[in-house]
Amino acid sequence: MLLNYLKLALKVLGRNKFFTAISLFGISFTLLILMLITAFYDAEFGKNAPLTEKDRMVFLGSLKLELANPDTVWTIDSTLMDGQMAYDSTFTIGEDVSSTSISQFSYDFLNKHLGDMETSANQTFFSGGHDYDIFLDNRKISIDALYADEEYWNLFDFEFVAGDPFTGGHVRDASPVAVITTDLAERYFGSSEEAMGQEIELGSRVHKVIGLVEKARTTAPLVAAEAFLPLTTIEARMLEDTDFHGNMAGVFMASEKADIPLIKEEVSSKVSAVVYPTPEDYNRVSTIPMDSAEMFAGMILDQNDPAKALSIIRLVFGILLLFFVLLPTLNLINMNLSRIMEREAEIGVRKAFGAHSGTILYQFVFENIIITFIGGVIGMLLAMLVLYLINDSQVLPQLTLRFNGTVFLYSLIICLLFGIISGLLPAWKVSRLQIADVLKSNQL
Amino acid sequence: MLTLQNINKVYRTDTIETLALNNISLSVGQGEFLSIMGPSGCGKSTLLNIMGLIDEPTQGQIEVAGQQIADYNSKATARFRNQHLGFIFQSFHLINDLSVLDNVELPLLYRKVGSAERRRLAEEALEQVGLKNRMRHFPSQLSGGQKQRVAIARAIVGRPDIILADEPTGNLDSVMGNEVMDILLRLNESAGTTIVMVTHDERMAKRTHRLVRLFDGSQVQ
Repeated sequence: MLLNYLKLALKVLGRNKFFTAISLFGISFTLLILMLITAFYDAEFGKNAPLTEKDRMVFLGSLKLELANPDTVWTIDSTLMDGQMAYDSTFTIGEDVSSTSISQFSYDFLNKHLGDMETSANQTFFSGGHDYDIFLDNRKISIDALYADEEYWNLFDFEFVAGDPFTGGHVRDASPVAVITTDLAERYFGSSEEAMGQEIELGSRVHKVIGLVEKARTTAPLVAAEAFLPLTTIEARMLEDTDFHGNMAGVFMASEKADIPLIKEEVSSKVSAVVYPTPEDYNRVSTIPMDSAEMFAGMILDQNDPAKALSIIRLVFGILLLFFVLLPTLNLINMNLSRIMEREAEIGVRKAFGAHSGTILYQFVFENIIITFIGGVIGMLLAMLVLYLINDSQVLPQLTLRFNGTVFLYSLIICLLFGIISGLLPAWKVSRLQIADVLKSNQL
Repeated sequence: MLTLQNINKVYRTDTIETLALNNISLSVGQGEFLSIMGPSGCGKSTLLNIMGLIDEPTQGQIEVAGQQIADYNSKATARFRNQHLGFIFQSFHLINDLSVLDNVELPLLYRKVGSAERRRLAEEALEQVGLKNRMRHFPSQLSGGQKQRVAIARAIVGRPDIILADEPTGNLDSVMGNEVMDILLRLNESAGTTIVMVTHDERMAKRTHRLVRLFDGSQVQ
């Protein structure tokens, strides 16, 4: 039966080529957009290396210092009572924050106050965003470097192409070694094969390349660097500075996802218990520990309230997605309805010979899924082409979009849903037709 | 085989009520070939549709192959039509996008019949109407007579108890009309299939066992 439906679906497509072309264009273009969104979403928010375990992580980005003072507000109302002026006063005790300072953590602060967490299984402290410009053979090479401790490699599962990560020994001895991305190796050494064991100049130091990793396909700064260096090779003052603010960040790994709230709570309580050395400058210390979704949302919108940022992003994405799917779906429903209505007599004949409404519904939804899948294949090929062009043109230099298994699976689901939704209403409508009426008024 | 009792059919619009069938009671025996005649608009096709369970009477009872029919829209009625009834229409109603073979297989799609068996039965039905050599053709490649023969093959492929034919020769010239009539008579005689046929053609009606005449929705003969 399905073969019969398939034959018929293909025949119907071939019958009105102009209509089919418009229909397929609409479907493939919509699915192309959805697939691109999916590819972008997967690259940025998916559980891909080196952030495979990000669901078990708590991220610490910034430390907030505030000088807060109680602020009493008096309100005095005046009125006339028996010809005499009367006064009624009320007061509210609020808070006045007269000074705020937000920045990343110092190494000293992290080490001293968050170095012995009870609820986390593992943790790493690192400092990213160090840009070095190297001039090599009359070329300027800009390198984004990140300094980290040895635990960094246990939390973030980079794909090593060659060599190994630096170890606790390297960090302890401040060994001038480096793990670099294959992209940087190609730019700096000409090819990634020749990079291992070579020396690379970063700042005032020369580091020996001991490992090669694939570049992280995300914009997340905590993994998006090109050169990874032992934390102790950073300028000494950054490690020794006892000020609270610095340029370090921290990530805590939970044994299981359910422990994330516990880690957040422990971090918040430990940080808020810290007293600033000069309370007349700042008398409150706080931080916002974030899970992975909140961190990405905070990067895009509001660093100070990542939970709210996440809600806004979800809402905006949801509305955009709804419009992207709803409008073409409504259009397709309309087109399908007129296409299916042309086949009223066929429906009459099928019902006369034993098809019931459910069978007719099934047939037309199936046909629509076939058409959607053809549009989906076209959309998929277009998506692959567009993804290639986006990556090749470096429009999004930090991001490598891929059409991988996850995107393919999502695309299949999108095709299926799109096919069912846009076919269901027209199919349901025609399945209710009365046989005698449609046979009387229609010719095949 | 088929019994109608006090069948009334009224078509209603907002302002007009039209009585299409008026108290029709009729019985068709096993193996009988019955023709229904009457002027245009007298209710012939409506009566045939009611017999074929593709239209519902306003009043009255209908019994087909020993079974009382109550709900015309149910899944069970669809299955009943599929098992017991075959249809031939004046304008053939073949699906142009399907080959002759696929058209003939249509009633079997709604039964639990494997594809090989479906194909064998469809080829057999096409052989009976002399069109096995055209099974790969499409309806648009056939003449009117050939189309109606394909429609007959489709009607008989499921070996129904009753064939309901609505002016099967109405769109054909006399030669082709006679060919189609010959096939129907042969089916009736050799396989004992009960046939009810609506026709305008007196000559065709005379070749059947019994004639029922309708006038303004009432049975006059």
